[in-house]
Amino acid sequence: MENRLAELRATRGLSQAALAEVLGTSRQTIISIERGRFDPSLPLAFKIAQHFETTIEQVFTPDP
Amino acid sequence: MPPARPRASRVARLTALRKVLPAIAASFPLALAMGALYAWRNPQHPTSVAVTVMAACTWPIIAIALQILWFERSETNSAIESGRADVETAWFQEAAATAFYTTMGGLLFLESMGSALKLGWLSPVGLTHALVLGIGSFALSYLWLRRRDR
Repeated sequence: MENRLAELRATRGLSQAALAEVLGTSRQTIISIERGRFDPSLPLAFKIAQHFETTIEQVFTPDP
Repeated sequence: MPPARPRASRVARLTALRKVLPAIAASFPLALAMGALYAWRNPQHPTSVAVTVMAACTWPIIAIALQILWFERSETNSAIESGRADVETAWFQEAAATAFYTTMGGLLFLESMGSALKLGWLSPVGLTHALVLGIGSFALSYLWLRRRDR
């Protein structure tokens, strides 16, 4: 699954550690999601979308 | 004169102590019961010593178990729920699955090799083989997954 997490995070000027703290997860989780190595759980995906005031579809897109 | 400790930390400590008091109290009779059971099954030891030693050894363990499994059940459940969102949990689960299959396959391999080559230290396989294979493959798998995703 592809995602725009790094891009959204950059627009807010947030560090990976800061975003991880806000979302209640680990920094490594944010790193892995941004690199496309880890697909987040649905609750975490919702949290990410809510944090950036957007929808899950705007953040995550399935692989072509 | 040493500086006074902040009041907030004392309050936090008291709150934490109050949180675990029910588990400590509830575990005491259970620890005594364990001591009595041990004394009954081991009459060669003086009863009072057996009860006291066994109760003292099991009291903290029972208290912790009660605290986690009974008094803080909701907190444990929420911790498990939030843990599922972390990549570390995914690594843990993947490493555990790898360790399971490696241990099963490895034990079969060791047993067959040991029997075929008549190697006493390989066959029959025992708890040590299972532990080495299980813990070793789990640790290596977890480290490899962590390295891969960095």
